[in-house]
Amino acid sequence: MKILAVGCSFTFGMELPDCPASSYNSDKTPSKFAYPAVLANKLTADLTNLSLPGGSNGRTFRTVLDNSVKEKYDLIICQWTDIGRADLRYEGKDFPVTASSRWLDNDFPWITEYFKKHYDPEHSYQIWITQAIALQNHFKLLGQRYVFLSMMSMQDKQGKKFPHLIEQIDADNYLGWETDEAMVNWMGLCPKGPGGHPLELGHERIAEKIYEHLSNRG
Amino acid sequence: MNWLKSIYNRITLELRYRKKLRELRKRDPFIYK
Repeated sequence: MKILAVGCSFTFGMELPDCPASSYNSDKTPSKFAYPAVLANKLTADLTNLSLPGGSNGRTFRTVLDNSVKEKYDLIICQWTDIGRADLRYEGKDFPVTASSRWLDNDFPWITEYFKKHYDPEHSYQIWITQAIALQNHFKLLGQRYVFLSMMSMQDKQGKKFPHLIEQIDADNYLGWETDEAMVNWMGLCPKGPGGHPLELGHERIAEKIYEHLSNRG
Repeated sequence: MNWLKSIYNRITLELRYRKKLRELRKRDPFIYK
């Protein structure tokens, strides 16, 4: 069995023992303690984890779609993140940008200006939800088994502006969509790293939640 | 009086931008580096 997982730092396993934030660089590989690896062990599957700390939904969308066409996977885990992140490239590599990335301020002051003056949450929400619908329909066309999940609730006040798009989401394959739950809920009260990411216990709980969902879906 | 109005507008706009940035950072507080 082959699994592909793509998402942000939560799926990468940032701050787990083998991925401390202090030693992070773009060549670092995802944690073997992160929930996709825990799940792959449970299912005795081969895992390809293409997540990126700070990664945006735009990056997840194009990485998942590209890889689902290039190679056949038995299961694709697609983890959505905060809608505010930007999908940029720098020196030939994906360049993760979040509003909290203050370390960028010195070299790229225009990024703060972008978030202050040009960022629009309604626009970002529309981009994300159209990507999610396009991807689920692409999977349907391919007959691809997949699971969507989110780092945090994706049905906030912005979502209310797009009821016609919200109803297009296939809740059967979007873990937590119906109950408006996400990874930050499933990890519960567990030890976290200084950057706010769950440690081993949180990842085990998230993996268990996905395992349960897959077992129920058959 | 126009210059005063212009300064006032610039300050209120900057305060609005800063509030927006604070809210964005609060919503997505996860630090990876």
